[in-house]
Amino acid sequence: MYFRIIALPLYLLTLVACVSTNVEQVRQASTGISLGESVVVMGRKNRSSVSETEEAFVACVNNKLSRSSTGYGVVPQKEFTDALFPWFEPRTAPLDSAELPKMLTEPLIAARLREIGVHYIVWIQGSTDRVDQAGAMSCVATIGAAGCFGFLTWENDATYEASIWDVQTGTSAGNISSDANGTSFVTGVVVPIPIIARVQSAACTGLSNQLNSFIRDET
Amino acid sequence: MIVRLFISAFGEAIRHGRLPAQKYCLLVCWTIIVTACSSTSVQVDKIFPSPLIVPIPAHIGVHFSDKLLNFTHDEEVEANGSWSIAVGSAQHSMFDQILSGMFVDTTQVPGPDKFASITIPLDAILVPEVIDFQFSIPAQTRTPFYEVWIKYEISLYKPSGEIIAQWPLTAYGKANTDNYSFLQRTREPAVQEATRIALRDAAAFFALRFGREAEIRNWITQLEES
Repeated sequence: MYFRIIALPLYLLTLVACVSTNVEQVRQASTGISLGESVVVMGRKNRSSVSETEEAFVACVNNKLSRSSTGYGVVPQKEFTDALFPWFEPRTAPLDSAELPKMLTEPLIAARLREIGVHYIVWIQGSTDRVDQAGAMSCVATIGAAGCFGFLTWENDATYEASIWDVQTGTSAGNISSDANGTSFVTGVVVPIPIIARVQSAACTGLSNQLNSFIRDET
Repeated sequence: MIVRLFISAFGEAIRHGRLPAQKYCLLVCWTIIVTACSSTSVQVDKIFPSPLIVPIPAHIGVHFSDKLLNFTHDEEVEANGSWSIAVGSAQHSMFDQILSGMFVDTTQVPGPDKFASITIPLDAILVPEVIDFQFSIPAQTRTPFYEVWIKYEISLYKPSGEIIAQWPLTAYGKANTDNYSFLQRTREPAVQEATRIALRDAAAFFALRFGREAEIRNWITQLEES
């Protein structure tokens, strides 16, 4: 009996709503990575951008790439920006791959990049936004009793794009976009039951898998 | 946090009916007042990386004023309590680190009124001064960002006290509230992060734009020729 009381909410919490994901790729140059070389995944933090790529998303791509990469490394963003300070700060980082060749003519930058073995810089732009919501729910708590009643629904859209720059050639290797959307629900009949659409996680998985294949030239 | 403390302290008494209704109301009011009159104190991280640039072959004296070393921004934000952001020691570390990487040698010297007493041979003396500090919180801008703006005035003097160049240095930093989980306290870490990014921005711009001021370019040319 007690087992059922504990297991039911746990089971309900694990319910996830459907998410549809679309991943697209544009290749501009052939890729490939050697043993010992590495990749750095960076989030864009331009001053003008009203929405900013969430650090959690960049960390997610970093982690998934680290787990799936065999033979190449993934340099954490902070380690990379500190090693190349002040060249990759929000206001000083190159905005376009066309600025990369000029930057690589600086002997100190080129030497440091060689030293840390970075072959590709992956710039991630985009965010997860709530595009629609409806419903209402009210919760009441008194001494000895509490409960929620109502129905809530919201739709999240995660749109991200990764630009892959080849540091060795100073060119753009291509772009990968990942778009995921899904609707989450919470129904409240005394106990609120959330059914969450994990759109950011789905976009991260789609983008990371494609990025790994792209870098290794498997596509 | 306050709510959690409140529950842990009085939850048992309320559950067992040992807390009279008037006292219960008083406690709730006290909790609301304490939450509304909150004050936030922020200390900024002092670790900055060394710049990856070719040092200018100059022996520079640097003067940090008491204002710069002890700078704290205090502000009362309507309905969001009082804020105290201590930037002094962080900006001291930032200038110290960046200048050590920009010039072959740096030495701390007394202020402009005591330049005559300096006996060490120097090529120039640099005096950074904080002019303005502003910040905004999401409640004011209706964006998810905590933002910080800092304005410095940089003066470069000849050891004789004659001014070579004087220019403003503006810095900006922001921290996204979306980067903090809803269970996490956001105020202090977000302002701390925005200030840290603003100081890095100041350091980056100072290092990369230093040689672009016309007077500075002339001074560097003269230095290289001598």
